[in-house]
Amino acid sequence: MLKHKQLLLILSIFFLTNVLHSQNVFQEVAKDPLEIHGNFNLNSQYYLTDSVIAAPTVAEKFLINGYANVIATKGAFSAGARYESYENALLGFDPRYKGSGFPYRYFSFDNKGLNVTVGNFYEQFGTGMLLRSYEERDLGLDNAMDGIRVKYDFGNGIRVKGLVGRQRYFFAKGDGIVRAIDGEVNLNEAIGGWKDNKLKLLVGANFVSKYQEDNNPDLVLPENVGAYSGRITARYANFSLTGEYAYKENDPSADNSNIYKPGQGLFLSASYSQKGFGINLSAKHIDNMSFRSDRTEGFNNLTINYLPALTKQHTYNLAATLYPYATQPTGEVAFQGDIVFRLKKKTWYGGKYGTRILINSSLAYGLDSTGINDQNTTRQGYSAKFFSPGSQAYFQDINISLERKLNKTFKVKAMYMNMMVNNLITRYGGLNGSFGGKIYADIAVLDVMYKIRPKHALRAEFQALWSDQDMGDWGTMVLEYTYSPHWFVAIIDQYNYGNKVEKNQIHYPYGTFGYINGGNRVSLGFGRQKAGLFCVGGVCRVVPASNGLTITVTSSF
Amino acid sequence: MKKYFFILVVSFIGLSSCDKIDDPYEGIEKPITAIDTTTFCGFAEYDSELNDTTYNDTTSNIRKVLLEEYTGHLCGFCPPESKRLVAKTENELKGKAIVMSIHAANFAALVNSKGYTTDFTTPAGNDLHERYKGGNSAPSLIMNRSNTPASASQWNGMLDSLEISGFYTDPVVKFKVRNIYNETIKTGRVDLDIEFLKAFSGTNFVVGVYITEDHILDKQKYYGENPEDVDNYDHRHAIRTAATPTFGASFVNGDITANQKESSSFCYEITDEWNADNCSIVVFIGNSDNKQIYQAEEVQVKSE
Repeated sequence: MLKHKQLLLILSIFFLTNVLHSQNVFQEVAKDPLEIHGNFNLNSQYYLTDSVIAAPTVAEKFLINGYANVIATKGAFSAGARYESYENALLGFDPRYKGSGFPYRYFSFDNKGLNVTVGNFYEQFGTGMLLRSYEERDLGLDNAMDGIRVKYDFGNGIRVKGLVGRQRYFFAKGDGIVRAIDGEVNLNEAIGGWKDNKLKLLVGANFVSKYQEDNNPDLVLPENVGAYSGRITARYANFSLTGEYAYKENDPSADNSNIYKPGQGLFLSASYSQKGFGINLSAKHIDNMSFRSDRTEGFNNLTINYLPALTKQHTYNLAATLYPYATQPTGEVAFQGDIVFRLKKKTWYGGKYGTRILINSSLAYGLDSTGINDQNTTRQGYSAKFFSPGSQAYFQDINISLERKLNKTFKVKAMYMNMMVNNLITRYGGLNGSFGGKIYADIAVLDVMYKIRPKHALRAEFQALWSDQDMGDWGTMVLEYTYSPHWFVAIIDQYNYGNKVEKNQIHYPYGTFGYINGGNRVSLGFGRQKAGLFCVGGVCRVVPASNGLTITVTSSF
Repeated sequence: MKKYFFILVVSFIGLSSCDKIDDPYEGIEKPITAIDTTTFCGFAEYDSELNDTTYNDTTSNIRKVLLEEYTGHLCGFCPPESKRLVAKTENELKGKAIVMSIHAANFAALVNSKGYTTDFTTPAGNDLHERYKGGNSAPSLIMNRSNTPASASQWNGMLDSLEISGFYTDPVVKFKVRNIYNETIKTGRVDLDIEFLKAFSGTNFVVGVYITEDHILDKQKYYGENPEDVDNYDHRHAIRTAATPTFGASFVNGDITANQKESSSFCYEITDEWNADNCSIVVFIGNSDNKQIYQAEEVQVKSE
């Protein structure tokens, strides 16, 4: 029986010989220049033991994560590879990222609307609710596909893509095979006379199926699990509307305690914008939508889909690292609203340069569900009402920020956040352990930028978090000096001054210094980093406490 | 036309790639050996068809971790840690972890003048404190009786390490547990079928059976609450008794071959003070010499 790699090679050759020969593509490509691009990224840390913040002792003392991408293109052809090195992986990353190698390599070509990729690739259908293969390096997440992808653009607004492959699992591949097809129709291009229609409509549908052998002696598991979705994007003048509904057939897994209940999800987003004003309202219903190519996996491993988060991704340190929210794939109903507007410049309320105001609010609830006692029969587990928030609130965030340029040298941004996180769901841990209940927090931020003289700028951040629960009150101060375009130095101190446990009233000082030159950036940092969660788009990674020297190098060419 | 035909074919192949399972147990032999209906924990001619007899069975194919949390009703820092631990096991580690709360040492002492009058201590809990000393530093946690009691800040990391190490997917022992409980006589029996999935050499195995009670509403010190002496705190998974010696009853000794199967039964009683609806049986198999636990399982005394 042919192995997967051999099959890939044969299919690649088949595609190439057929398509290239018939179209004489080689002759055309020979005229195009060869371009080589790439980038390099090294994150390393020398660890010091720090029992005060519960930073663990690292046997190796020094750990690195290194990545290098090289991409070569020549006309319609493109090939690339990524080298990764974890000697050993930084703390907080899965230790199965171990050693060095080329986990990502691909070859692709375009020919008259046909695009073929063999090897590794990333892909997303619609919002990603059924399929999103992507890399988020800082999360240690890479569920790249390894297989074949074919895209075809019919040229009349109809586009189809299909793929088959297995997903990356550290330096190996997952057990399951993913098969998927997606079709999209731009109705304004596909229907005669609609081209100049003010209403722009795009519809799409996809089907994703995974195969994994049933090796469970005590349950009959579905080896093929199918899921399908439909989506629409509509735009009319300043309005736009996006929606996607997905349905997943029975998919017992470790995530759902091996229940056979089908999953479903609905995502809706509507927005309106005009000069100086914009509003966006979003809502989603997620029910049993964890979808992995290996039913026994956990964390961020071998996820086929991505469930978009409906919470603001904060950037200020306290809000971003203490109480971020992770999407709950087993079930949640969530809502979010954003309003952005600008107060007119040269008015008493807008100031000389105008003022930008952003208001955001998000809410997430558990499902309105009822348990079913069928563990020994049909194993449906529970029933849930569609789009009906349950009694348990998971997360709430109301925040407002104002940005105003005061004069040619001063720029100010102020922000207030009011948050509630249900820690029985989000499960934040810290030096105090983990608080078992709802955490309410008020956070205020003042961010001031002062341009001292041309090329010289000083930025200061003052942050405060007040909470009666968990670790109590925090304060953070950041000072950053930039000498453009090459140098920067910054210090930050986080202080848990309100911790009810006196010994945990700890300072977390951290300093960083860096040099930038074109595509190169080198920075050194030293100090304490508190334990917390790092989240991107509702997907999170636990970051352990650490103390030591960090060295970061990035370069692109 | 060919293009559209191609799409149709691919779509058909895709749509057919889905298995709908109506009966998750179709063709699968139900576990557990036949019920002995002639005697039942010393009661002769026991009628297993009595209405107040309930059956509950479970099978563990994954490796479950037994988490024993040292706590006490005077431990004001314990409640949030306990809630966090239970939440993690119920949500994140669903079906992979079993929690038992050990009330022992100073934090479990009675202070009648302040209303701490319920004695949650048990001989088994006291033995466990005597061996591992976790009660003095509550909240603290031992996992599979294989570590010195860990403080709460370490719990997440320890549990996450288990996940990362592949612990849950590497069972060395498979349990099939059946519980039979009779409400009239408040007596139950646990039948175990155990299959060793790996070979062992010169290992002395013990089996432990504990009774725990969930949702006991009683007084608890809770720092951060106002007042901090909470009257009706929800105590979770408290050990009520052990139906075997604390570190388990002798089971099989010596060399074990892979796929070797062994069975055993244990009887227990539920006292009038406990709510049988909230009681569970925790069963584990461990090493007699170092006391470490290989596999654990939990089944409710009464089926829901």
